[in-house]
Amino acid sequence: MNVLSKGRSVRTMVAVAVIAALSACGGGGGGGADNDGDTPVNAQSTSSLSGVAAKGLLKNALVTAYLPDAKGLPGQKLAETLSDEQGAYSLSGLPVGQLVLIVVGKNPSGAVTTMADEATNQDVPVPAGFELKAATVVDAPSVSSNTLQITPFSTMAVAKAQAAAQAGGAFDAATVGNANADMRRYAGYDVFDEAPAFTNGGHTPTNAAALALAAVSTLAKSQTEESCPALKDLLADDARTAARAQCTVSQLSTAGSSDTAMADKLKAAQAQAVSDEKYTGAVQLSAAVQSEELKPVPVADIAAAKSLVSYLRSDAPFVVGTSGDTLRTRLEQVQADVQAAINPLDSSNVQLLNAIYYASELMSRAEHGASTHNVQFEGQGRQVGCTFYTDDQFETVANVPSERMTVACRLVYGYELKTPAAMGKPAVYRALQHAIFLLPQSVVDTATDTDVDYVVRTSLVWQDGFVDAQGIFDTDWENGDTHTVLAAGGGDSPFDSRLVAHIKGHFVNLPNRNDYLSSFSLTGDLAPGYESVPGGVQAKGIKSVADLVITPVNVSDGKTLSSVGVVGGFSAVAGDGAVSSIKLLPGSEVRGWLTLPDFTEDTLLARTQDLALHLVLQASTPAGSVIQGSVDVSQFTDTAMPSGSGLTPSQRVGNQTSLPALIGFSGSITRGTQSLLSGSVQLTTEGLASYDGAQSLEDSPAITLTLLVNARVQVPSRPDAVLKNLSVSHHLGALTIAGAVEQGSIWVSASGTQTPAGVLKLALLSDSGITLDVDSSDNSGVYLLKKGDKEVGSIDSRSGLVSFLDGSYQR
Amino acid sequence: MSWCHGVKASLACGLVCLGVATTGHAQSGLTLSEAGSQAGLGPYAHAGFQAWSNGMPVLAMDGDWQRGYQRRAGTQRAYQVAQAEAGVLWAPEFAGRTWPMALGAVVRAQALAMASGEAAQVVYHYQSQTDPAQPGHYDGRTHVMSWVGRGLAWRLSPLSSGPLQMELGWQWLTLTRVRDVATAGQATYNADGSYDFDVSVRHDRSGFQPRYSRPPEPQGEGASLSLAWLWRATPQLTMSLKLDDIWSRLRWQGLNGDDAVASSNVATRTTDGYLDYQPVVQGQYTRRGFSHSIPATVDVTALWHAGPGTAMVNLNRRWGLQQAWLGWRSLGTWRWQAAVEPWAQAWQVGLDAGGFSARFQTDRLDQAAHVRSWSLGYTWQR
Repeated sequence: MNVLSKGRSVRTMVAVAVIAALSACGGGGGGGADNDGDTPVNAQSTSSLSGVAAKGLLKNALVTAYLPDAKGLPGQKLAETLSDEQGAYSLSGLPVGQLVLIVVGKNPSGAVTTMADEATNQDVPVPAGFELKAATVVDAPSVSSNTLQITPFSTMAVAKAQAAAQAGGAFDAATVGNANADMRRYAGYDVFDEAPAFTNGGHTPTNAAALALAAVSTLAKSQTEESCPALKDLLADDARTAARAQCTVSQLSTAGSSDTAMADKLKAAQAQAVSDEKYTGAVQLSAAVQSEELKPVPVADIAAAKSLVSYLRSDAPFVVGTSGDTLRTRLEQVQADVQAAINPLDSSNVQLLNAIYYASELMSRAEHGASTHNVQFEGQGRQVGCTFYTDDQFETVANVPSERMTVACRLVYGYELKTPAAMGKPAVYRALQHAIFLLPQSVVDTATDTDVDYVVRTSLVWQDGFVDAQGIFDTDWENGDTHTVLAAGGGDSPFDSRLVAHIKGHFVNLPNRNDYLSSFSLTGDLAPGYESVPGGVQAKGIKSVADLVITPVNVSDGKTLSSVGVVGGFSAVAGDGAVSSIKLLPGSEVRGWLTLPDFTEDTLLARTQDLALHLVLQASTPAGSVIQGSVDVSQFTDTAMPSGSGLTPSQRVGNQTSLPALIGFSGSITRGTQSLLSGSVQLTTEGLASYDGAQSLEDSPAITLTLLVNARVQVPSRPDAVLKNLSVSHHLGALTIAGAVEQGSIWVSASGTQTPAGVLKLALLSDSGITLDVDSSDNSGVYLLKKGDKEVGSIDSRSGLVSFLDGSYQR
Repeated sequence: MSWCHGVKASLACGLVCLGVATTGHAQSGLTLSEAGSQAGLGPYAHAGFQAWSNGMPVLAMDGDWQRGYQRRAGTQRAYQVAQAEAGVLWAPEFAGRTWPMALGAVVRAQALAMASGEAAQVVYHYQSQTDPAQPGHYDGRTHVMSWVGRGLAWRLSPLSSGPLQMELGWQWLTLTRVRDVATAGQATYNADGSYDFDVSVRHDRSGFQPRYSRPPEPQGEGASLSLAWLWRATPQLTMSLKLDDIWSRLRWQGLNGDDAVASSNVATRTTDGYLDYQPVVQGQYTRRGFSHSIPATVDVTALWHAGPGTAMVNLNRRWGLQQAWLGWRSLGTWRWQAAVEPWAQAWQVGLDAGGFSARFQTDRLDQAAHVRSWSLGYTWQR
């Protein structure tokens, strides 16, 4: 079964599909995200708001979060805190998705609440009744930093939203969103997001947002007792300064964003503040007069679109990155881990086990007059040849069954010409072989069953020999030293290999001499497999270590599937001593019509549809990955290879068992504390019945490969990504993609196609109903973010510019 | 706008250049004139360009800055101004005297840049693809404004005889292009080839229509007042004072732009411990009214007429940059002029003949120059 090459196909499909799908959505760049190892797994239903409370900076001010009522008045109190010396506040435990009203006022007890006045360079006590407000919808922490500056401008926005509610609307997310958008347009910058920055204890503005607040202080200086009656009763300078500020905030809220006179005053005050403060930075406050009516803006839809974009941006480094810990490298790592995990049971190891099993079975039948020489073919040109000997030095061939003492087998993987035929001498070949020398230690034979104990020495060698007309490799024993040892545990020849294992078996003796194994255990060291390297082949490490118990469960009623249980461990020891191991747990078995002893390859060939492999495994790799779970391989299909192709039943069985229609893994792959993948991955191959083997699976018009993933993937420093029914189908270079990803509080489904020419059409849908249709054949490179039929934003894939309907943009 | 250089006074064509050996600044100003017995109608045309900076390669701002950049601790300033004007001169009779005046079409363009020394240093490293020698913080304050306008220019000499003469000029402009860019913030060099930055950018410009925004207003308007005085203190000494654009207004209602914050800190950790990746640039498209004034130019000139020529001292200030010229001009039909500006190490040559005048000044002849000016003019003379 060519699992490895199929695994590469799976990896390629996933990488191409996912990267192609999301690379067009902007973001990008390598991984690089740090992982502190304590990333929480579950999304929270509450979040925090933070920012600065400032007219000038409000120090030790009481900041309270409420659920507002329908008219925008404070309702249920949610949280409260005091601002610090920089006016900064942070409120936690606020409900995600809820509209909250934040009110800042005088702290009724404890530290005195003061307000920095930029115009007078004073910190003045905040008068009773002074309030700043702001309102917003709390986003999940994974999609927003939830920054909210509470200023006279946010207070103006709340006042406008309250006015709209009083006029018959409701103080809801839409109204507040419209009012906040109105204020952004009025101010010309994002008054809710851009934090004011001051020096000199909060008295000297250093950025545009701070200058805008200084303009309010400058405007306050123009207050008179007529415009601000509260001044009549005040004598102290600081109290009068505070009262002027209070009056100004109130008047700004009353005037709102549609009052031309107030806008002009504010602009003039800003110009004055620039001069007074010797301000040289950017000036942003524009005081652009807005209409009295709130301009409807699909605030919630825009916020949802921003969430989708934020999700794509935050996860793009992981999804499309090519270095660091990214999805691509993760999949490559998973592939490498799977390869490493099954490395002990790669093809040559399995063939060696099969040959040992065959040699054991042959030995058990020795007394029944089996042929002196036995050759067994199996698929893909390999052969197993065995010979009985009368001695434990493997010198004298035993032609008489009763004299058979030992058996030597050679598993030939392939041969190459060493010396061409010449002068009447046949051509000499050399064959890559596993040599197996089996010596019985004890045999307890009864009429009904036999218990055996064999010692088996194995080695990996190049062996000289001849090839007969039937293609059978025959060892050239007559010409002296004709072998080259690749691995024998330090032994000089195959005969004295120090790779020794013990076999204990139990045979059921039948009258017709078709004895069969009812149990078989193999414990000890075995020769390693081989691997191709530039210029030839080499031993794949030092040795393999087996601790396996194989238990055939024979059901011969013709109605029930038989099985062969395989339990135990198998390890491969690399040249540097690193060990990769696989442990097959109880429940691992091969199921099928294995109605031993009547089992034949023809029988199996006719019933391969019912053949299934179920491995419950636990494996570790030299890199430290641990794989736990089960592998299911099933739906073997007789391919369209013509019966007259010359393939033997054994070869056809070999071909078919390389082409299961269904390969599934369910379990987890972890490394340290990190879960690389947890869930199920299933690869189905459709069209095998029509597959003639002339092309690779990927290139065959008959074949459709489909990868289906339902798994959780731990993303560095991000919420886990849960892949739900994510399927990627491949047919003649065309990809079809469907499925959903849930991560944190966002859920995104995807469906689309990619042509062999690379034209990608992908539709993303978020749980908020925002769609993003990507069409790489669109020459504009601009993809629209929509809610229903309404456009709420766009992504320019070429410039990286993301624009939203409210005039905000990101790049 | 005066592109009239050292033309002999008392020309019959109308407005007369009074022999003020100006230095050829491409500035919006007046042609000092005197009323006399002029009559008739005559043409005039002037065109000129001037670039000046105190450290930035003003002629190659998009170049690599390897040459022509001089580091300054204080503010770096630079400007490029250009103007072309053509029209007619005449001197109507009114209230018993003549009123020399000019009416012409004018095209003006200005680009003015100001940056903190540190901001200019950052630009230098960016343009030259180099890194600072030491880690450090850089103040990112810059302001660049440019505009292009066309319209009518009208000049009048209400006081055009006697030792003290006066002239005023008025321009009505239609603005066809405006750009106003301001940045503030800080950049940090981390000594490992990497930079951090947190900069706010305000960028208003005409012709800009971002998605989801209304089309910009197609044009703006502008006006400018300039004044000039000429005093013949003695037969040998002539003094002049010119205040170009002493009052001005450039307005463009409904100018689209954007406010943006660019930050290298794109990874922020939420309260839940997750990392959010923010965009490098977050902005808000805006629609504002543009209202600025044209930086005024103050120009003082003293001429000493002696022997074979005229000695000249000229002081000029525009956009915070000063010039101080010392020069000499010959007499005769072909009047050569030469002058030097010792602080900028610039030199000037000029030639006047009949109604024609030409000036060229620079501190060096390649693109690394900090001073470059040329002007050509013709004033009809009877």
